[in-house]
Amino acid sequence: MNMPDDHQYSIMQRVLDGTLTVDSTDEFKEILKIYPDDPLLQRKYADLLLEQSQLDEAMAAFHRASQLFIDQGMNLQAIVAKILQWSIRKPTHEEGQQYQRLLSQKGAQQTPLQRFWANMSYAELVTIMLRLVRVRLSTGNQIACVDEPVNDIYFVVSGTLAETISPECQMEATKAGVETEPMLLGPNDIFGNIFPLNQPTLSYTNVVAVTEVELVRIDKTVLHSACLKFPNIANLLLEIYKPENVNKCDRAWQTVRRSIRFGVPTKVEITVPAGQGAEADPLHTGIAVDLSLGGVCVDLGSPSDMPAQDLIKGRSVQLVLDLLNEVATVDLTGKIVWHREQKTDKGATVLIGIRFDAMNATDRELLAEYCSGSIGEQNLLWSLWDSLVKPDNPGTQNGR
Amino acid sequence: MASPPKIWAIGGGKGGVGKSIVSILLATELARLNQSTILIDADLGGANLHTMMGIKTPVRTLNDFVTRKYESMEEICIQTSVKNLQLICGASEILSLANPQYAQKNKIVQNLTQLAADHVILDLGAGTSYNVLDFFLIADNPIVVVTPQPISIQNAYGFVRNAIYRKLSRMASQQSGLQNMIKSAMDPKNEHQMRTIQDLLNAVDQSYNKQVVHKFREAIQKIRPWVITNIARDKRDHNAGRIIQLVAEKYLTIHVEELGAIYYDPMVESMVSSMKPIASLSPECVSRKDAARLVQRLLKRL
Repeated sequence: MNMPDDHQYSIMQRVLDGTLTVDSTDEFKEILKIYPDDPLLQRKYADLLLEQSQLDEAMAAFHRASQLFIDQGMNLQAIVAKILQWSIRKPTHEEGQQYQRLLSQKGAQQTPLQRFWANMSYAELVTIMLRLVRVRLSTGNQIACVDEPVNDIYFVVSGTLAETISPECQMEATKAGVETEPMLLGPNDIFGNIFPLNQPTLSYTNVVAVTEVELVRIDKTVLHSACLKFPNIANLLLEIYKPENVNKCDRAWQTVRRSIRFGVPTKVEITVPAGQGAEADPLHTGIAVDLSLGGVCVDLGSPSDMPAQDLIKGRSVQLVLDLLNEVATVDLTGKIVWHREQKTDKGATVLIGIRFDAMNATDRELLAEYCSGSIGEQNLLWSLWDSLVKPDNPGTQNGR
Repeated sequence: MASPPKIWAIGGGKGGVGKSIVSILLATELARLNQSTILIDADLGGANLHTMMGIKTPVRTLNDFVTRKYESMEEICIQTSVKNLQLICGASEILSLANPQYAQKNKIVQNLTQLAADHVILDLGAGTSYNVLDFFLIADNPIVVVTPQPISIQNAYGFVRNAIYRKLSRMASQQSGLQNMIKSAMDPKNEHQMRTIQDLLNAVDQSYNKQVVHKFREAIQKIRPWVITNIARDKRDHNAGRIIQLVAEKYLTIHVEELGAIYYDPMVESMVSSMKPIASLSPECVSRKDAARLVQRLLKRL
């Protein structure tokens, strides 16, 4: 690797990438005087103070780092710094609430990941922050293996990882004479197959640290419980996995693999047209448990939260299925063919089965595309597409 | 007695991938090789093959045969400008034919094999409705057309997947329990965790017996679709077909054969835009040359 000359390569960068070790807090303070507003440097300083058990100073440094991260739109890094601060001394509720207000008022909201952290209520934020687990990896450490369980969502706080396709795809790419390169994951990228939340999932890629890496992870069962308790968390989580116009986003959203969306729960909005004995157009929302071209089973949640008395067998309804893509929302009509309450470990949930009426060709095609295979099939299709067909540069053509 | 014609069915799930163009190119090439060929517009909901063949208003259509205006399918064949190539037009104006009754569909299927020709090419409609899948499943050469776009690949794979399950579902038509099991397996998110054909066969083995499994396995093995990558622009695009082959092998336990690619041909685009017959493309055109190569390869296998 060609390193820049010393005079080009600032002290700050060298401290951050580890090529210059500063283990004296006094020396670090001098560097901070030169770069007082750099959150990464501030965080490094706080880590050093913690290592040296200077706990009060470390708390102040983590606090300052968190503020600086928020100022720079790095909500994830701010949260991690705050977790480290609070791991030294538990905050009061007032401090916690103050921090949540700061994050929601000043935290950046441009990307789904930024919004995920900034738009949670105090109770929601506490639930998630308490269950985040910090993971540090050294260069070469592997964090995900093809066909092995991966039941967490990982957020990259700092460092770089390489994600490579399965040997199966790799072999096919080689046979086809296609060169494949690992996808690099950096700060604010996420990885891990968390959907469906209530089932175990396997990894479709290998992920290896190529530098020193800091991650935070959260277990899907924890997330599942949090989503059941706080629907807002479920919505924010779904937003992360929604494909979004990359121009509007940082690179985090480029690495949310499209394949994952096939496991993402499908949101369904149901309205009952007026004139069937029901009140005019009440709106119900639920999650599609089982979606096919013929119909859908919708989980409407707890009977106490949503009585759904107007959603009775035989009634015609209008549905909007959010297929996780701005252009792929379908409006359908159908009839409720069954309705039942099912016991769950959290109480009970209302399920209704709806048979679709005839749909137009466009909706049918959208739905067929959405339902055209299991998660495994879709993941393999997309992985192979990425490695065998997807143009390296859409503007170029290699010719025959 | 002459042997029945070889039936080719060109499907692919998604609209706009060029099924009709591929059908015409293959049919034209077969005819050029002195093989008598009948091209049938089996897109019963949106027939427009005749327009691409330079016929504005067809005088006879498939509907005339279904409604008994003509007794045999041969009577509704229209000679095209290409020697050895006849056309049976679809019937887009008769909406009822978009969803023909079982008996009507059977009538068409049975008569296909009685046509006096070496080859019958069915240009199927878009989508994966039972009618489309049933025509696909009766073909000697079932061909899936795909373009090198992810949605097209997904749809083409979904098409093959649905065809397999449709085949099994029809075999189980007299056993409602078994048929329900197949329908359940068809749903990719089914609660019984049947994600592959092998999962389904294992479940059938446990609930029924090995004979049923054996029959199913035999039927699946007989389905050997070909895949053509249409509108390829570079070598990497050829791999679209390979993707379907690999995923089908793993999840559907069938072998999909990659036939090859037809490259993007600006002449085709130009002729479609100006409503000129595709069959009159020069044999020197990229698409004609590619189609000739694919037909040679297929004929060697017949």
